Amino acid sequence: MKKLKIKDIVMIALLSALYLIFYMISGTVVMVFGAFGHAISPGVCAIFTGTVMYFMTRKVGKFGQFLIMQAICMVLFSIMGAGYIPWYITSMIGALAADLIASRSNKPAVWKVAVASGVFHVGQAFGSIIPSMFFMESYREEWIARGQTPEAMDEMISYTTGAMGVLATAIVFVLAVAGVYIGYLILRKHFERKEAAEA
Amino acid sequence: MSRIRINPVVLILINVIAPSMYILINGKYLQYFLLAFASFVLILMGRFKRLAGMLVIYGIMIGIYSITIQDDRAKFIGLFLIVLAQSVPCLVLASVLVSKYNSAELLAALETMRIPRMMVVAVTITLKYIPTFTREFKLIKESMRLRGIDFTWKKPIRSFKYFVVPQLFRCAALAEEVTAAGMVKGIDAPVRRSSYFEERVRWSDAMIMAIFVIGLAGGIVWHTRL
Repeated sequence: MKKLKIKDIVMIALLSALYLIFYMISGTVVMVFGAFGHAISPGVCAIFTGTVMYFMTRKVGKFGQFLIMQAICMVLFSIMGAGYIPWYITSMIGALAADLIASRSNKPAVWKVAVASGVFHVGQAFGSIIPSMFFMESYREEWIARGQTPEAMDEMISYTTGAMGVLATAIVFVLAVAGVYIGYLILRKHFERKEAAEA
Repeated sequence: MSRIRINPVVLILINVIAPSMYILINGKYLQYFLLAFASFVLILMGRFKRLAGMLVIYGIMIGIYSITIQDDRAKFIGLFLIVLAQSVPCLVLASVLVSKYNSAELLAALETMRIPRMMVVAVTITLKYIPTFTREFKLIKESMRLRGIDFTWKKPIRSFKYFVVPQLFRCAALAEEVTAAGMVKGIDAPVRRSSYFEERVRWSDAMIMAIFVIGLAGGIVWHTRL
């Protein structure tokens, strides 16, 4: 496994800036669709950021790329005042798993990148799914304190627990996989041309 | 009135600590305290336009929330806005961090927090390039319009491609430039980096942090007595 160089870190940082712009736009739009929209928001974001992920695996392609991207996002969300500890934990675990899936070779297969993106974004979605499944009362109380009404929180919990929680996870995963394949369709020609030029 | 220069680390710490306090403090108290505290910091820094902007945006959000919460069909808008509204003070402080301090100042400040060097570099680059890329997306949209290419939902993938590909390859080119600039400045040297903008904790920083901590402690006491 090759180690990340300073150039790779800079590249990941720049792509993270792009990732965060898409994240904020899609996150804001999807929240208008209510509690279920919020539950699947990482998946909606992943449709757009799949291209960024695919590009990163082709340009960086080293172990730790997903982990650093997620860490940058989490640090920036903290600086912006949007921190939530369970979300950090599940997101970082998801990013580590994504690295294990798709960062062990220089140019991983598209399906591996797609699965890695799926796991990466499911990790983010678990930030609300896991607390509502296992720590429901404290999760509910914290968000009520943040301004949500008890009714809205009950609705949110209904979309992130039981069968709906499983469905939300599956939707996030499928959307993230689709996002990478969209990225592959968009960037395929560019990388084929580059590889032909190199050969 | 002379403007006070605040160490960026203080602003970062406030934004990191504040949202995690919702577990310990009454939500309404924390919201109003953060709004008042951010206003106080902005006044000290002489950022009056930003202060006015923050209060107007917050007021509009609360106004829409108060109206929509009474209607079952429009309730979701209000509930979305009330969560967004509680982030407004922190977002405004974060925006000050991006606009007021340059990359060298942020790097110097973040290095005092004992975060790994590579992470500091990465976070600083990301923080500085979010506004740049947002501006560039507008430029891409404008050049698409000038060439007669519309962003159409009828062909979403093609439209998205025109939008995202230039930006991705710009990232690749930028990575070379930023790395070269960083290497010249010895970013990868295994020694403690000195900076022209050596950030020290001043009395004003300590006082601001003390006010913040006292405010939070007051909230905790109030919350436990209720």
